[in-house]
Amino acid sequence: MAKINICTISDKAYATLIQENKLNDVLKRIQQEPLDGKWLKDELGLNEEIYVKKKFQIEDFELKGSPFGRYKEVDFENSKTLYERLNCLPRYILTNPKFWIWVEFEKGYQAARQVSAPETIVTLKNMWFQKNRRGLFFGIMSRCYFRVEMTYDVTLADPYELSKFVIEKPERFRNLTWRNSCSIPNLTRGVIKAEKDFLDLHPTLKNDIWEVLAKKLSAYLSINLADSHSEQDFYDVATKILEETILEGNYE
Amino acid sequence: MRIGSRYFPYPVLNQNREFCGYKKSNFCVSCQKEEDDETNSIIFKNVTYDCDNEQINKLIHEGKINVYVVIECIETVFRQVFLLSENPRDIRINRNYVDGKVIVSCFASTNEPIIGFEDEDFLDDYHGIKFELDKNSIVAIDDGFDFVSNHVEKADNYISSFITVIKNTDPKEQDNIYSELTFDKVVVKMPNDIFGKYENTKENDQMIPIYFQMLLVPTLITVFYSLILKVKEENIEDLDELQQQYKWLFSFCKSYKNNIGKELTVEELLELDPYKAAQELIKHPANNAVSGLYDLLFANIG
Repeated sequence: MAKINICTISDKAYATLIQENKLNDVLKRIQQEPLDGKWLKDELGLNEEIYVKKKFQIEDFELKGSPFGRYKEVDFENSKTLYERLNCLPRYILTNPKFWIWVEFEKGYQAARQVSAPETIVTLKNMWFQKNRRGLFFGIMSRCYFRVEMTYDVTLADPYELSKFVIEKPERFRNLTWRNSCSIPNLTRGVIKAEKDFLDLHPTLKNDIWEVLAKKLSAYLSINLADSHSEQDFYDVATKILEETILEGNYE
Repeated sequence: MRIGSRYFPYPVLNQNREFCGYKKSNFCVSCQKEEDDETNSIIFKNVTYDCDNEQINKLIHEGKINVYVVIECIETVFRQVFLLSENPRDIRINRNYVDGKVIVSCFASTNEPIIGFEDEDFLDDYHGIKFELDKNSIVAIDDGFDFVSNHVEKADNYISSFITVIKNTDPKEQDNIYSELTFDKVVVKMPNDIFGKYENTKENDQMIPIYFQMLLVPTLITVFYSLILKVKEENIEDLDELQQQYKWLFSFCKSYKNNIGKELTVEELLELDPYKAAQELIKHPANNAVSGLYDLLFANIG
């Protein structure tokens, strides 16, 4: 695969794009154009390139769209591609919304649109042009990347085992990501492993238990130092919470 | 990670006395922060902690309590923990990991369950009570300090490092030019009709000083007045505090130093004349602007 330089949307294009009025036009165009995001340049009406080349190089890639519009079928493969191509980039690029706009419109427009063809300006802003840390885990492409980055585990026979588990049902991971403590790899991996093993023991478990787990874990971490926990510590804590929670009933 | 005003079900030795469960004991982190451009790193030199509580120190020596410094940048989902000892250590963080506010905080936490945790120096309310602490319980806190480390990329020129001129897409706002202080840049919004004309003429040597005088001077005056207002309203003591709200401020301050020859500090900001400073910041374009206009009007007239 050829090497390419990554890009970010230019400051001028970005400032033009996020104006309320422009967002209305962009929303309509996304709804009308299912295949290719090249229209963005015309829509912004700038007589210059809207993407700025950066010095960092990656292997070129293109994300797949599902031929039948069922994104779930290509979700894992695309998330893995994003991780494998992008994990060499500096963190300040991977958390820059201007970078993800380039990915969405130039590298995976069809896929992004299949994940969410936004119906409102709010969805468009939150999922396509996400701004802050929380937005990263909401963004249509950025969240796919981080789901893998935070669950990839070389100690497992299949390093993507946990990634597959969270992509299958994003609720297993999503509720953890709203808290800053999910930046700790021991936490994400330990908790996801506990979830996976617990689900094996209780195959009829309802999905809403993961939200309860995240809340109880957050309460536990209000007086305990998350950073000093080993992965096993988190596995044990999460398992204990799940065992207590299931006794409260209504989760199977 | 910041503990802030969180209460604990047992006494905690907190650097913030308001939330401290001890009478006299202290716990704090110390280090010197340096930036190394050559290796693109932030270096925390001589990181260590100071604790004068006998009981906690004894448990640290017995390995029952560990002391950690946590370095976190929420914006980049970066968080790393380092074990501390009484011997100072240097910690190096690659700047690529951070972009925005970086928080450095320090905690002591239990390395194993501790039964019968008590201390002579507990506040009176807790005196004589023995507590049971689980593994990883926080026993001492210093919320530490924070600073801003923004990635500011080199722009084509010093103006484009903090100002962007765009077309205003709001049909109701087509009579005036507006400027807006966003997180990324100072955005100048131009009416739709004239934006194209501006774009096609902005590189013209004769037009540059005219546009500088016409567009940038008023924008910079607005910037100075907005900063002055912010500083007064939010009791800002150091302009670095505003870098969390305005990423472009770093470039703005740098331009100020390069072109005016002084550091832009809060004191300097409150004393300066915004009209004069705006012109000086972009190398006083008025003379060239008026001469340029004169030439444009009369160059072809004998």
